[in-house]
Amino acid sequence: MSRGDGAKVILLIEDNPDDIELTLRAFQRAKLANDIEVVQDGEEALDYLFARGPFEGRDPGLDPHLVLLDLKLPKIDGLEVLRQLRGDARTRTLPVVVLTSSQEERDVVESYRLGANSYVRKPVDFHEFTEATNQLGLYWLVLNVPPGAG
Amino acid sequence: MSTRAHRGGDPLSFLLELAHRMEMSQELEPALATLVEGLARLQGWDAAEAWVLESDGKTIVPGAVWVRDDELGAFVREDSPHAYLPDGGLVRDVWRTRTTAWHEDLLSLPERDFLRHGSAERHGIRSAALVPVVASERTLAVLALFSRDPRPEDPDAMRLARAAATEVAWLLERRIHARRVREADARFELVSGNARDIVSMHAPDGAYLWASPSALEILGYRPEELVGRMPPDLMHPEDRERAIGNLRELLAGNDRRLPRYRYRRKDGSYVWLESAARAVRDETTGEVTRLVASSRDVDESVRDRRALEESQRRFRRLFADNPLPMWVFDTETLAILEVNEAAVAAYGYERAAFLGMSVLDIRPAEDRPALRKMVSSERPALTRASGWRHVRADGTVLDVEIDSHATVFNGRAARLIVARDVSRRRQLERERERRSVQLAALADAAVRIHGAADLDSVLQRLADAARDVIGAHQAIASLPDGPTGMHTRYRVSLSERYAGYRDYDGHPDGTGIYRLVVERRHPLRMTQAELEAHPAYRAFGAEAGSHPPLRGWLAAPLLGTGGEALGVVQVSDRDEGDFTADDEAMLVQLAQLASVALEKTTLLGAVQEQARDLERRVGARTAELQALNRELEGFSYSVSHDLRTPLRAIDGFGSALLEDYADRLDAEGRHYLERMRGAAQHMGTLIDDLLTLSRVGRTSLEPRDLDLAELAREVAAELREAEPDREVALTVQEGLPARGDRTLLRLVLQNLIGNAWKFTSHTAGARIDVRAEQVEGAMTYTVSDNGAGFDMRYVEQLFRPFQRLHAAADFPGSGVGLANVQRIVQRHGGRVWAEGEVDVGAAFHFTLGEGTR
Repeated sequence: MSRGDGAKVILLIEDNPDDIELTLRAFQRAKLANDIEVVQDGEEALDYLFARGPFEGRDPGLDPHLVLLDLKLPKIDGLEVLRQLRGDARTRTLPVVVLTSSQEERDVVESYRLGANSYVRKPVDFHEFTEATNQLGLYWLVLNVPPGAG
Repeated sequence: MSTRAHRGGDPLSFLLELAHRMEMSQELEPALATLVEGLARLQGWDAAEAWVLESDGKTIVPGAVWVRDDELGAFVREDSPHAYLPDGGLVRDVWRTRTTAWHEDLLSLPERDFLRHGSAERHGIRSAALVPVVASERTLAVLALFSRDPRPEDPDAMRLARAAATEVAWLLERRIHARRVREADARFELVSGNARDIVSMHAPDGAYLWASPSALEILGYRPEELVGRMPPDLMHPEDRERAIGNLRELLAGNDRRLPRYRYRRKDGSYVWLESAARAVRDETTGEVTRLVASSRDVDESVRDRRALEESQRRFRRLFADNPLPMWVFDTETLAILEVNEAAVAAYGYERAAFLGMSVLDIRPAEDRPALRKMVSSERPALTRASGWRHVRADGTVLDVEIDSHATVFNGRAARLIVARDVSRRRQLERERERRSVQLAALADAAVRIHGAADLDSVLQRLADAARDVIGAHQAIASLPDGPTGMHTRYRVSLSERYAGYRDYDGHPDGTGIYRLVVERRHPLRMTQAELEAHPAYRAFGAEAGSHPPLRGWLAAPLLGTGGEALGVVQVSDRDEGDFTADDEAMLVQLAQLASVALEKTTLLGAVQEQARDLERRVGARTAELQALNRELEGFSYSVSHDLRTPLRAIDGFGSALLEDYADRLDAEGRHYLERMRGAAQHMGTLIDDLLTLSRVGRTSLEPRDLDLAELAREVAAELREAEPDREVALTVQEGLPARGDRTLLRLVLQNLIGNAWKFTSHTAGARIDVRAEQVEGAMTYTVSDNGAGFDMRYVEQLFRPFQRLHAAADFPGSGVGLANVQRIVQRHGGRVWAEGEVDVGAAFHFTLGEGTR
C-alpha cells in the first residue's frame, strides 16, 4: 500500500482475501489511480478510521475519501461499523458504499437507514463486478463533491 | 116420641158443645159424628146416617150409620155396612140441590123398595130428614136423620139442623183449608189463623158469656176477663154504632153476617176482627136466647206481629242452631250481645266470656284500627266482607269471610255477624300465589344457573335458587368430588335467620341421609319429626353445635343425562309450614336445570381445557417454527453471502487467468475456463432463485389494490430493454385490477412474461398476451404465448422447483421460477395452472384469493 501523495484514498473493509484481491484487480482494471487501504475486520476498520490503537498517529493524508464496506465482518459487523461512522462528526459525511454479497432486503434497508450512500451487490460475474466498481469509483471519487470540499 | 125428642137438652147447649168439640176435631167424620149424634139426641131421631164422598170423588156412600140403642139410652155406631138409603135419588138430590128435604112417610115414596133392604126396614124406619152440609157452596156431606114414627115436617128442627150443619161445615172447611196450608208448608209449620179464632157466646144483649182461649192471643184478654163485657165496648169508637146496628139485624133474624170491627186489645192497640155471628133462638118461642160468634183477626198489624213473632222464633232457631258461628253486637258499644253455639265451639271462648267481649277483642291487635274505622262509618244493611281475621281463644288466627246484617236486638241497633272460616281457602290461595311466584323464580333461576361459568358457581346458584324458589331458610348443593365419592364440593345458602352460620363449613362426607337420595335417585321429603325418626338420619355427628339446626327436609338428586346421580340439593326450614308436593316438584325441576348446567359446565370445562391445550401446543409449535424460520433465515443469509463468494472467486480468477494468461493457453484451455466461469455464474443464478423461493415463503404479505396491467407493462419494458433486438408482439389488456403484494405479484409477472419472452425466442412472429376475465366469479389472469409450448403429459412437473422441460442450451433457466409463481399465488389464496402444446404455445392462468382480491 503506497503512501498517499494527494491521490484520493479508498478504504476497503473486507475479510475475504479472494474478494480483496478481486476488488483490487477490478479497481486496477478500471484504471482508478487511488490508494486503496485494506482492513480485514470491523475493529481494525474503526481503529483506522479514527486513527487509534495500532493506527494511532497515522498519516492524516491517509484519511479515506471513500469507504467500501462489506457487511459480514469478523469482530464488529459492517452495519455496526457504519453506525459508528455516522455517529462520529469526523466521518459523518464520509461516502460509504456497502459492497456485499448479500441481497437480503433487510440488509439493504438497514444499510440505507444507517446512512450508507450506496449499496452494491457483488455479482458472481467478474466482468459485471468490474463494471460496477468502475461506476462506483467514477461517481464517488470523481463526480461526487463531498460537503466539506465544496 | 115427642117427649123423647127434647130429651137431649136445649139447642144452645148443643151448639156450644158442638163448637167446643169442633175445637178438638179437624176431621170430617168425627165432626159429622158429633153433629149427627147431637142432632139425634136433641131432636129425638132414632137413627142417622152421614153420607160422604167416596175417596174416588164421585160415589156417595154412607160414611157412618148410627142407631139409637134403647137399652143403653145412647146412639151406637152400626157396624153393618148396610145403609138405610140405597145409592139413589133422595140423597143425591139433596147433595146436588143443597136444600133440606123432609119425608114424613118414606113408605109412600115410589122408591120405597129400598126399605126392604138393610137396616131401615129392620129398624122400622118411617120418616126421614135430609140436611146438606155445605161450605162455600160445596157439599161436604148429607145428613140423613130417621124416625121410626111418622114425623111431620118441622121447620124449626130443620133450621137448627141446617144451622148446625153449616157451622160444622164452616169450621171444617177452615180446618181442611188450614190443614192444606199446613201440608203445603209443613216446614215452617204455619198455623192457620183460624185455629186461633175466637169462638164466643153472647147473651141476647151481646154480653160475653164465654170465649175460647184464643181470645188471649188475639185480644190480650183471658176468656174469663171478657165475660160480662159488651163487644162494642171493646171496639174502636167509630165502629161501635155499626156494631150495634148489626147486632139489631142479627136479633131480627138476619144471621150469617161477616162484619169487620176494630177491637181494642188489652194493651191498647187495635185489631181488625171479622165475625160470623148467629142468633140462637128458642125453638118454641123463637126468641133469641144466645148469640154465637166466631171471630178471626184480619188485621194486618196483627199478622205482621205474628209474622214478626214467627220470624223471631225462626230467627232464634236459625241463630241458635246454625252451624255457622254467629253473634250479634251492639253497633254503638261494639259489645257482643248474643252468640250462638257454633261460635262458642269454633272460637273456643266460654259463652260467658264471649258475651263479655267486644268485637274488637276477637281481632288481632293490628286489625283493630281498621275495624274501628269501619264500624264507625255508614254501612249498608247487609254487607259481605272478606280479608278479616279473627283470633281464637287459643291464639290461632283465622281468615274469615263475614256477613253482617243490620238488625235491632233488644231495642239496640245491632249487627248480626255470620263468620265463615276461610283459612283453608286462603291458605290454598296463598299456596297458589306462592306457586306462581315460585314459577317466576324458577324461570329466573334457570337463567342464572345456566349463566354460571364453573361447577362451584352452578352449585352456589342452585342453592340460592332452591332457597329462593321453595322459600326456605337453608339450602345446600353438593357433588362428590374426587375418587372417594365424598361430597367435598358443596355450596351453602342461608337466610338471615341463620346469619350466625354463614361461615358454616360442613365437609359433607357423603354418608348423611342425603345418601339415600343419591342412591335411589329419587327425591325425599320429610317433616322434622319424620326426619328424626328415619333410620338413615344420623343427626350432625361431630358437627353437632356447628351445623345449623334443621326444620323439615326436602332433597332432590342431580341426575345426569344418563340417569346417573351427579349430586344432591337439599333444603330445610320452610318459611311457613312443611314442604309440600309442589315444593318437591319445584326442587326436582331446579335439580334438573342444574344437572344440565353442571353437565354443560363440565363439558365446557373439558372443551376449554382442550382449547387451552391446543393453544399451548400451537404456541409451542409456533415458537419451534419461529426458531426454525430464524435458523432458515440465518442459513439463507449465509448461503446468500458465503456461497456466492467462492463462486465469485472462481469466476473472477478464471477471468483473470483468461485476461492475463491468454497467450499461454490454447483454445481448448480457454474454452474450459469459459465453461468454469459459466458454471459458476449458473450456480450464482441458482442460488439467487433459491433464496427468492425461500424469501417468498417467509416474508409477510402486504396486500393492496393494484393494477396488474401496469406491472406487466413495466416487466415488458425491462425485457425489451434487456433485449432490444427481439421483436415480440406483447399486448397487455387495459386495467387488470387485483389485490395483493405488489413486490410478489411483480415477481409472478416477471416469471410468467419472462418465460413467455424466453420461450418465444426461437419463434418467428412471437406473440405474448396478458389478459384477465371473470370465470365462475373469480378473476382469472392469463399470460399466453405462441412459443415452444410444452407437452401436457409433464404439466405436473412444471411447478416443481428445478424441474425443467427444456434443454438448458435451448432455454436457460434455473427451473425455480414457476415454483416461485405457484408459491406466491398460493400465498395469495389463489391457484395457478397451465395449458400448452409443443411448438404451439403455452398459457398460464392464475387467480388470487378472495381475501386479497
